[in-house]
Amino acid sequence: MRACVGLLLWCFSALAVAAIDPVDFSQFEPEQAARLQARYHELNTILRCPKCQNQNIAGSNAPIASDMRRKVRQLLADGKTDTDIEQYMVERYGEFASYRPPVVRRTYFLWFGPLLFLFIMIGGFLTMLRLSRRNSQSDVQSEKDGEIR
Amino acid sequence: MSRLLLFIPLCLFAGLGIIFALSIGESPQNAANAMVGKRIPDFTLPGFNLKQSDPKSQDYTLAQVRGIVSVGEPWLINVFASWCAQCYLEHGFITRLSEQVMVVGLNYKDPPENAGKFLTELGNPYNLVLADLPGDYAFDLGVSGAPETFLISPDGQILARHAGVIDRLVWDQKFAELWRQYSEPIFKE
Repeated sequence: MRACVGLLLWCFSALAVAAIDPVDFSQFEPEQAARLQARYHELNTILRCPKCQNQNIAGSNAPIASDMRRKVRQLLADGKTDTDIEQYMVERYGEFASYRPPVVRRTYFLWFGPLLFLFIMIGGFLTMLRLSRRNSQSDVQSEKDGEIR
Repeated sequence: MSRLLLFIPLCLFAGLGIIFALSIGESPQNAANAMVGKRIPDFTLPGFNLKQSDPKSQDYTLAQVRGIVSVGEPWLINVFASWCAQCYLEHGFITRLSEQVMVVGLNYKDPPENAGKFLTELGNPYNLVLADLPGDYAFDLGVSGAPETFLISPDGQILARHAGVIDRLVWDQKFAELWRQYSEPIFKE
């Protein structure tokens, strides 16, 4: 049984490796190349494919996604920073292109909205709990009153 | 008072519903572009002026293209390709538009022979066809596919952009007012 689970897990990890497309940084020294590879894969996961509803460019088959990956590779080889590259894409494709929207006034609702919503719901739930308790208490009260009478 | 509190989750739900309902309309592809309002980036692209009697391919810079098509009115860049099914659909409207507006065709990731066949079959509505085979210039425009259409002001500002088939409705809603606004009057008052 444990062997089966282990085998399944191993299969999934193999899938993850296969999904990464090998990219060529061979003109750099191996250490440098390895770092660029890592940044390449990282950037591909935080950039959104403009033609897809909700996929990063790492996971999308769309032609524009592969164009963007190629561009990322080129910009990395040119020595640009991760921020430069993200900025480059956002300049052309808008904030939609990044899975990390900035935390500025107009995106406060995006970032904090769900949390706020959660608090309101918890508040509502607790209020309802208190109300029902109060109701059942007054029921007990009127029962007692009823007994005295 | 306590009864009213029970309405809060309902109001929140209604609020969310309104927010979501307002977002319906623009496709995400129309959202995924940040070039509107910016200057049109420079380029040097091979092009054909098929309205010439002997069209030979030559390189055109942005300045040269503006010299040809920007005659005091905004002009259009229409991103098209022979592999793009929707481009066949909008071709009729582009042809009609080209009677009143200068249109530059940006052939996107399309071998020139295929583009040539497309234009021969359907007719050529473009004042100028520029070839962007690798798609690098289109990338600078924030293009993510075909068809896409951009409206450029006489002084080189990107006024509007539409991703998808352009028809009378799209023109009226997105482009018509800007085109009128940015057309320079022939006679200065």
